Amino acid sequence: MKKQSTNVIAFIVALAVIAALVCIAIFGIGNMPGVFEEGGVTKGLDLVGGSYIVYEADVEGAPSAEDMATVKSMMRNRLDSLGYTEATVALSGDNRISIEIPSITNPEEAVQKLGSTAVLMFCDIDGTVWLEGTDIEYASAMYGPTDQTGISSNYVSLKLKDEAVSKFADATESVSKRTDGNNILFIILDNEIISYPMVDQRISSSDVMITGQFTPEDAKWLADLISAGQLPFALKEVQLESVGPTLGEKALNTSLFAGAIGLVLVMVFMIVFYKLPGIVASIALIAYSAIMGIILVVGNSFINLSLPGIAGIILSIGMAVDANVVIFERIKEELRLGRSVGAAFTGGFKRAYAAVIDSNVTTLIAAAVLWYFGTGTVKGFAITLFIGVALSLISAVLITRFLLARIIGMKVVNKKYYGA
Amino acid sequence: MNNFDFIKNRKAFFIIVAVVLVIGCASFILRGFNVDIDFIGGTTIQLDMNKELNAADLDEIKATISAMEVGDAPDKLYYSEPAVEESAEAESEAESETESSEAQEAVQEEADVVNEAETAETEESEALTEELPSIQIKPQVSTIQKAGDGTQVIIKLLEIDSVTRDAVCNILAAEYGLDLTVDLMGVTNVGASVSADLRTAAIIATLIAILLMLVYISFRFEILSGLTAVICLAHDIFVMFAVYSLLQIPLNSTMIAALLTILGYSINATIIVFDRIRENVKLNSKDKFEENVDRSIKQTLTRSLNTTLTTLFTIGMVYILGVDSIKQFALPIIVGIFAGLFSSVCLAGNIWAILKKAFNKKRV
Repeated sequence: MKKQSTNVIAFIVALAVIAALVCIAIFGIGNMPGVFEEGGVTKGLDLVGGSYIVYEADVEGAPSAEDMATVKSMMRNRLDSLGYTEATVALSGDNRISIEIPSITNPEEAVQKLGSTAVLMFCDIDGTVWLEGTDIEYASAMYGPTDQTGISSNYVSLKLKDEAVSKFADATESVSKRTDGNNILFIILDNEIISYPMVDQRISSSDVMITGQFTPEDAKWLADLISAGQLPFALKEVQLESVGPTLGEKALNTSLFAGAIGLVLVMVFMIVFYKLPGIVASIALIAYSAIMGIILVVGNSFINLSLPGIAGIILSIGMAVDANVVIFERIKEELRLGRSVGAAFTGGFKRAYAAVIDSNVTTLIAAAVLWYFGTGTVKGFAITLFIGVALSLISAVLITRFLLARIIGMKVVNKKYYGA
Repeated sequence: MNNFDFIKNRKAFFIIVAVVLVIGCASFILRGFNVDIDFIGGTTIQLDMNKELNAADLDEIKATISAMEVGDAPDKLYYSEPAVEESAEAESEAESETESSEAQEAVQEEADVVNEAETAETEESEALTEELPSIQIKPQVSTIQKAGDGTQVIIKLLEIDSVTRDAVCNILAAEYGLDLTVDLMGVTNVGASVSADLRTAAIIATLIAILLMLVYISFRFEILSGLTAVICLAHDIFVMFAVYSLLQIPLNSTMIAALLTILGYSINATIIVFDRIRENVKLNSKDKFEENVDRSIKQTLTRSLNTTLTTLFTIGMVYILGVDSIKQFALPIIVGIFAGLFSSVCLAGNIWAILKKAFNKKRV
């Protein structure tokens, strides 16, 4: 009698713990947000919309590690300058740099702006280069009148380095001596003429302005670009994956809905087919889902939930009950052989262990290999599948076993409840 | 089901495999594969055309793109955002004209220092500041198909650069009255160097996964069972490829994820059967190996079917409710689950028995 009551208490405590896990998963605890809350799960670009851009160094042979590090930090500055503060930059391989920008509507603009080498040149009409980007101390975006008409516009003001002032004076002197129409100083950025003022006199000053019909954003971007200087080498865009925000949102909602229905179907099936053990398996499945959610939130710095990632979780829900199915079938067999519920339970679990572990290890191997070799969304899938399968072993074996043992301890031993 | 003899009906299973082989090979030859840009490089653009599309519409879009020549450019940018910016800009201009005259003075000084003749610029400046993207590389459409709820279109092209992509989108937006801010569903571009890398990674990942699983099985059971597993895996891989070919599902990196999942899943089921065979051979050592195989398959049959069902419930829901890209991922998995069920229940035990007989005979 005493043993029975400890079983009841243990069973209730276990249920309470599972209920608490579910609450933590949904509503969060302390500083940890819930699964559905802001800042909970890190969603992949395919779910929130955004762009994944990969550039490759356009140089012969492999670029040096320092140069790649320089490119990375310059890219970070460019992203901040464009207002993409949530974007991430990473080096991949020895000559590629990948950038993820969430919630962006015009991916091509980003591809072109971020990928600019920022080679600045001041040339005359013959193509002689008089000044380069290295001659610039800094650049800033300005607004005001740029000529005698007094009409204000956006422009970029350049501050030349001291040693470059004479170069600029020489340049303006040379250019101004040319005939009208040829006395133009071209300001070229990445092979594109951004300004081509006429020069009629020698100018000895450290201040130069670049005019054009700039928007305030354009002027700021140009100024930041010139200030940061040019990249050590040109970058070539080799990959772009861009998903609009509408597609991503739809993908997330339908997948969550599919997962919820799938979960309910699996539970109904287990209960209909395996009766009492089926109910226990369903409780274990709820615990599994809750723990999965908590892992996604806690590990959100390295687990990026992509669309295939959600498919991986949903798939692992289906697979999670496999261990239960194997064990329950064994228990049923033992019951058919005339064993008592208690003996069938012990025997069933014991005999099923080897099969359960052997069979799950192979899926874990597949997931681990994908995790290692996969990129982007495939990696996301591998991570969730791996965690899902590993977790299912715990939930199906340990949680189910504990709960069933308590139920049997409560003397609920009618074979009918166990599907025999 | 208890009267069904899995050993005696061996021939029927092998006939099914033969039929699948013939259908698959025929499809490989006749239909080939719809290799996605992941593996061969290229560009895809997905647009919401905001109307139900028919075949004629698709042809028209394709013709519009094919007619684009190098240098073509839209008359303006079709993003709703820049329009908002323009008005904001006008406002800020109006504001700043009235405000801070001292700032203007300071700037004036600077303007005086650099006496650049801006007047010459004004006539040409229009062309200069016109930052509209123009076609750099003549776009070549490889396929065009409907997507989503039938109003979206996925255009697959040979690789084009960023400016050209921008130009193509904007010219289409002008033609069909789209706002790219909301109607541009997605753009993907994969360069030749990346596609080569993805291809290599896919092949290496598959081979290593298979190798590791085999090492594990051989270690846990015996070398012949490992060999059997290889044959079953080959069957599953073949069926998966046949599905990709028959249904022309794009062959891309996610296919590798689907493939490896099925390999793991199928081996999982095979191991359950093998584990039972191992146990039964110990229990009934006097019986013939075949009898133990048949017994084991029957004992594990409910498990095999039930696990398949529960997995189908979840992945099936993903297929029914999911968006296009995830449907293309779920469908091969569903077919693969059936292939895995068939190979582990109907083939694995039989092949093990056959191999055992063949090798034991040789030894005698």
